[in-house]
Amino acid sequence: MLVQLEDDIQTLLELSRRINSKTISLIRCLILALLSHFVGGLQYREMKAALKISDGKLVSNLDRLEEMRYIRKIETKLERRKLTVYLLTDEGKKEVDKITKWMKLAQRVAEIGDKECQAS
Amino acid sequence: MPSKLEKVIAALKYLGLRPDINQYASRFIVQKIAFLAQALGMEIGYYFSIYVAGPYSRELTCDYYNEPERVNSLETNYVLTEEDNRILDKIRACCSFEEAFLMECTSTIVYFLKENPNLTDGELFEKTRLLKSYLSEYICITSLTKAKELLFEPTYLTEDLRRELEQWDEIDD
Repeated sequence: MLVQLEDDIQTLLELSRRINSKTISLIRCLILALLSHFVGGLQYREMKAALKISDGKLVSNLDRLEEMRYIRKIETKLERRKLTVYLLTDEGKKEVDKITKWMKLAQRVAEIGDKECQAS
Repeated sequence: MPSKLEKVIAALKYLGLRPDINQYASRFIVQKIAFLAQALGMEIGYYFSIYVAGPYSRELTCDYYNEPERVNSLETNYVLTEEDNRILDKIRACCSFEEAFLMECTSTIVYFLKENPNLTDGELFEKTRLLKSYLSEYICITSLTKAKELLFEPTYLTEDLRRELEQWDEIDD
């Protein structure tokens, strides 16, 4: 088990270096997670209502993710009203995969650590 | 056995819609129609969630993204049943597909009512405003009526009721 733990910690550290640390903030992770679920795109107003944060905060985070090319925005019309819809890009999908893999590994390391503590 | 998507395509075809899966507005309407048809009793079988962009089915999204041409050309082998037709006629009579926001709100209220039929108008209004704060009060109130209209099932004169009415009729003035 200890060997496994050592390996996992090493992989965890290696994976951490591959993750773009600029995406690791609660809001950005949430935006990416939401967009990876709503594959057909999510309206700005829906995101705002769900996250319950200010326009300023939401716009700046969306802009940053767009600059990083993890998300893209399209302007569309619904009932003659202009709407902004956000979608996850392929690069964004890859980043979400990296983050989830990293989180799962972090959870496994913690669980092995817990078991070690209980055993000793 | 017809797939879930085939049933949705058959519904869209019956309603005379011409979807374009590449367009967000079109995908939006497809989601709401599929949900309403299913909620009203058409056996489609998609799972719909309500939060954030609901009623929304990720499975339906994946299905139409996998076969966009099929949806756009309304290609289906599913033959609608009489009951399906009745449900779709009801949706057509009650909803204007041009009014996307009204459809969004109506389907949300239908979702809430299917989940809990005992919700009062006030509770429904509050729940909807909380989830979809960007929709106007006017849309919420109009949708409430539409949702109830959609879910309304006429109760017929049962034998018990008929007998009771006859007894009342026999009472001399």
